[in-house]
Amino acid sequence: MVATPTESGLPLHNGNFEGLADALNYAAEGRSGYNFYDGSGRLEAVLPYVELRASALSLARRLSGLGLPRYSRVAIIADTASFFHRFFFAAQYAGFIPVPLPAAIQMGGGEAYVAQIRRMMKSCGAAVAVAPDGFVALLNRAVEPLSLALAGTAADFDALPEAEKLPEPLAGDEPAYLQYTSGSTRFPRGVEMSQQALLTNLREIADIGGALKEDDRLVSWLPFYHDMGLVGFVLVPLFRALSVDYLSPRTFAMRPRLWLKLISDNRGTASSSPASGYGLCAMRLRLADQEKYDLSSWRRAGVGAERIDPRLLERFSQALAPAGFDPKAFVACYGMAECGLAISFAPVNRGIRIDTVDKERIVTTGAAVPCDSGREALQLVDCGAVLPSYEFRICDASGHEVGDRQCGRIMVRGPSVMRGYYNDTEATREVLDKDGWLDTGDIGYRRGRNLVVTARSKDVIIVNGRNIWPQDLEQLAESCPGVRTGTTTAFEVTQPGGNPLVVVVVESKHARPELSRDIRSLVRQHFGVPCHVDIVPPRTLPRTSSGKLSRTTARAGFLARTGWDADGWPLPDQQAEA
Amino acid sequence: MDSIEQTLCDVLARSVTLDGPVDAETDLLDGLALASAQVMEFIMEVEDHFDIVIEQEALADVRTIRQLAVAVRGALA
Repeated sequence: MVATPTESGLPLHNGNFEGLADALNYAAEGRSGYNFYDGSGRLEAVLPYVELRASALSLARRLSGLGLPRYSRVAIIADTASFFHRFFFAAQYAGFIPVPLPAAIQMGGGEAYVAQIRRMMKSCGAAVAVAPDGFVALLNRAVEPLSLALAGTAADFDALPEAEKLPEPLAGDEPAYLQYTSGSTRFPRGVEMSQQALLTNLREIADIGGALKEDDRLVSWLPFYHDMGLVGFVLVPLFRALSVDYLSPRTFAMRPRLWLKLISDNRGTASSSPASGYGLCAMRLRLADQEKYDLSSWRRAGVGAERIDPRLLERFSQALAPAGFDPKAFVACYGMAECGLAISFAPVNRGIRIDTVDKERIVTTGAAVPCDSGREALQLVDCGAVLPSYEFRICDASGHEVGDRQCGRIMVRGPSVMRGYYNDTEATREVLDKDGWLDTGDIGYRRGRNLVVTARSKDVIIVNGRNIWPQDLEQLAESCPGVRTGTTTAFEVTQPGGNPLVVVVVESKHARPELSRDIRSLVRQHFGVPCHVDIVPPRTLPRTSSGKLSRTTARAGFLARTGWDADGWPLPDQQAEA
Repeated sequence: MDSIEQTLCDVLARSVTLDGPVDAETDLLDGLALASAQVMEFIMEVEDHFDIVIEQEALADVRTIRQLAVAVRGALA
């Protein structure tokens, strides 16, 4: 088996595609495509665009034969394997909306996983669902109470008869996909992107963010059910007819060095990760590995998807300098599924730029005042210029725009903003106003057109790159006997030493040890993270005037009780070092 | 305990620091309170020891050494 070549043999298209199917038609004229590597880093499957097009068209005819209405939802358990691309593009050709679903299960987390994908399929009203062989038993458990036209493996769909004719593929203002990145596990929200909104973002990512050319080759271990994996490393390469080499997220988590090996062996030029991925790689690298790889071809090392901790990138570039990794390859970026993927990109060939600001001032007044690095300084990563198609503004709590270097809510408007959350006008109205402004939920400040993100989605808890919503943790705690609704609160704190800790505070009359144990067990089962459970007497948690528990105040109270760094800003141990 | 279960206990003791004894029925998650990184470390050691790949979906309903042994036998078959 031989991987697809880096050079497609095609000139770069002007990018004026009618839709994703149109983009695949063009890419299929060349030699490039998708390559899949197994858990030991061996090439497992090769899918050139030309073959993908042929097999997606044939599958589209079989899907069409089911007689389902246009825009029916096709749920795909988005494991890193070639069937994913086949179903995703078959849906495009058949006029159906593909919906990638998570393919990550914690050990012992089968029940929680089944419940999670069932809620998503219910939320989007999936008509059919496909899973890889290993997941099909779990899929069948999930669809049991739902009424789908067909749920099964790719083989089950391949056994369907082909329809004679195909409808027009999805294009223009029609939907491109639904993406369940946003929202909590309990209340999933499916971002609905139109074809043209997506294409606008693809063009800006490819041409401005990555400055991708014919001789680029992408490498990725990011999951296809996440915007960075789906848009960045399935659709961007398609848009530019580039070859990609994939590892599964689980392979990366277990053997991160295979990521470096793949880039080195295949002369990869562009690969991205959350900062935590670079950190994991640096941590697990063996000394002997450093000189085994040649990373000099890696020109775009994208970093985004969560608040960027510059120390992790520093560790990575130090560890991989002997392998020829150039820290100027780092490209900080910011974005979210609600805009396809990207909102801002730092310039290529520059590396990470740090804005050093007065910590006391930013914490107390929200003003990001430049200062010398030192004890009282905070180092924040500049996420680059907002892409040209967006208007943006930073707003204070009352919605008024604030000026340069003042923290506030990041708002954006432009042609690549989503249409809304699928079938959820209420959730859509919460983030998207009638003039088309999207409230990103993130906090940051501007320096001209550049963005510095200081806190992502106020409440979301991010541990090892996983987004966990406090509402989900609170619901789990409240499902335990003896815990009443509205008497728990969850948040993240930074432990001395810099590691994040998930904390669940519960009001209960009796501080029973089995209650703490049950909650810890549930949280581990559902989210795969350890947590600390704090039991306090009833009616002692701070409430807002409307009677809701205030997470911010509860968190401050917890920090006061533990005596830890109370300001909630990152980098506490850097302070200690200074 | 059969030989695979015994081997798994040995690998577990080698790959993570344990507070107490482990038998085939010990709940790895709640009994031992292993964090996800430790679970991953342990599974990796198991894969390397038996030279197998255990798919994550095969671990969906695994909580004990005995249940893990079933998954290992499946991967060996």
